[in-house]
Amino acid sequence: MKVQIMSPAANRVDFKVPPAPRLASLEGKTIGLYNNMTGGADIAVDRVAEHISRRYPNVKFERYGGDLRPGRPALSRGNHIDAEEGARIAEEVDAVIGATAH
Amino acid sequence: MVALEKAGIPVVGIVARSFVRAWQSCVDGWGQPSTTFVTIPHATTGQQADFICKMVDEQVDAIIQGLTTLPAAVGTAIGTRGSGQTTELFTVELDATPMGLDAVNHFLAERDWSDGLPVIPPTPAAVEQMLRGTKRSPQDVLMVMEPGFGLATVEKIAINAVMAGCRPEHFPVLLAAIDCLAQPQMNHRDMQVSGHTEAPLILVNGPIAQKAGINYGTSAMGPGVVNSANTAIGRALRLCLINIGYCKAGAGDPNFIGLPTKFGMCIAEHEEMSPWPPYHMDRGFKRDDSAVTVVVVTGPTDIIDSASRTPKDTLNNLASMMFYRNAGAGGWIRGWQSAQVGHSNKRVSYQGPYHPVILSPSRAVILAEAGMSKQDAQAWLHRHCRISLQAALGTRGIPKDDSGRWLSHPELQHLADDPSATIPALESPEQYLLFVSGGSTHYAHFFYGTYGMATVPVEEG
Repeated sequence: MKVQIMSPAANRVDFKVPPAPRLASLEGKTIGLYNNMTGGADIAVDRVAEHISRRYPNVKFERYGGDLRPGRPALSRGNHIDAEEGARIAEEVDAVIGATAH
Repeated sequence: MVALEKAGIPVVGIVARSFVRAWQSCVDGWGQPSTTFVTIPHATTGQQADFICKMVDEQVDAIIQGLTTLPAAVGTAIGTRGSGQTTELFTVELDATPMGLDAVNHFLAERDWSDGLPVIPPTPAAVEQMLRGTKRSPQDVLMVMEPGFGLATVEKIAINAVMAGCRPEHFPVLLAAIDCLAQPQMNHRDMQVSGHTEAPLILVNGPIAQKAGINYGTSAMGPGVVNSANTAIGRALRLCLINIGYCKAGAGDPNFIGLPTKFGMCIAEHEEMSPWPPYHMDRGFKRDDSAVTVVVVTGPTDIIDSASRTPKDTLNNLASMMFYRNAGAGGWIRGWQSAQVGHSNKRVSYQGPYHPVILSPSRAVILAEAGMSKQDAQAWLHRHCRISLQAALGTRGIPKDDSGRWLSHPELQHLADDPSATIPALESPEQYLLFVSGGSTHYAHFFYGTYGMATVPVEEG
């Protein structure tokens, strides 16, 4: 016996975002360090910054996460970086390293 | 992180191995499946600093490479994309052999379209019958469900309802539950993708409960034929979260261990036995209205109240459950949380968490006989469940303005250095959500709420 069934899987909103251009080098760049305030995320990104500073002494860092920037949206697990905040961060730094899934 | 790539700067994520599929599911949903990440073997949460550093040390080269080298395209996005709302039909061959009888389940399981339990085949005829349970149009979209950004049409919900074993009279309750999840303050995204085990608890009030056959008496949250409506409705919501939201176990849903509550929870209030007005009246509805409340919870814990002889004993016993420090206690001091609505820039602040206490009628009666209204009981819990202010501030402290003044609740700042200062665990008495259900004896269930909650009317078919 054959039975026809309907797909339970929803059609999805079609979002497509191409990858951003990469940096030629980290030399002289400003790197954003984003932690989503889950435990140890700050330690992870700070450790990466230590390593990068040793290799590229003229790199600067900006930190994002939680309510580190009063007047801006608090960025945490519940408050992701939205398009508006993403555009602001992109004006402040050249790249971002994020500890977000842990 | 995809928002940053969209803004034109490269990103690299640091992802614990147990979250890799969750990461992939999220960045896929947000439109860039190839977003660069490095993997560390264990979650950083709950680890010592030295160990976190050791894990990160091994990934520094890969992080730098990720910022300087374009990622290779990975995989293909899962599911049908685009605004079309057509539903695919599949033909499955059944026969009387054990394997043949299981053919539909096997077909669905191969595509990860199930909760792992056998389902009712969602044939066009069965779905059509389900759709008779509502006046809504099959192509109405109730919400865009994350993390997969799936369109929750009435038809797709009906398909999942059939699979779960719902009958048409259950369907309006399920639709109302999804109307609740569509409210921004539900923060359904985090409910879906958090490693913390969170699940929607459906609370039903009004005449729809009897019409749909939802049990509100003995063992109402348990198994059994008497609970078939409760089970089917709760399960149907989970199937929607899996198949419409693309929240697949281990991927979109990265719960470390999970809980059986995630299979589904639906219960009605025992309005006849409760000495208090039903819960939906607290939310502004009339007694004869039908309404569904959804609250996102973890837990529950069974509260055994056999030793209580007075209302105070019972309230003290309930209150003893409220001090698990990670259940949001005192978090309100930093201000309300906010949820971001899908891909929009809109953020919505909401009050939370709401801690549901499912009181056996007997536990409500011991309070009511002493003259306590539900609001009195909530006020008592609010007054007595307190947390040290310093514990609430923790190591994170509180955001301040340039002059050092707290941006949130500055009126309490003068207490900051007082080790004996306490604040209510929850901001408002109403956040103790008292709901009377089950057999009438000396028990209660206590759930830890996590995000917001919503109550909506039921649109009957």
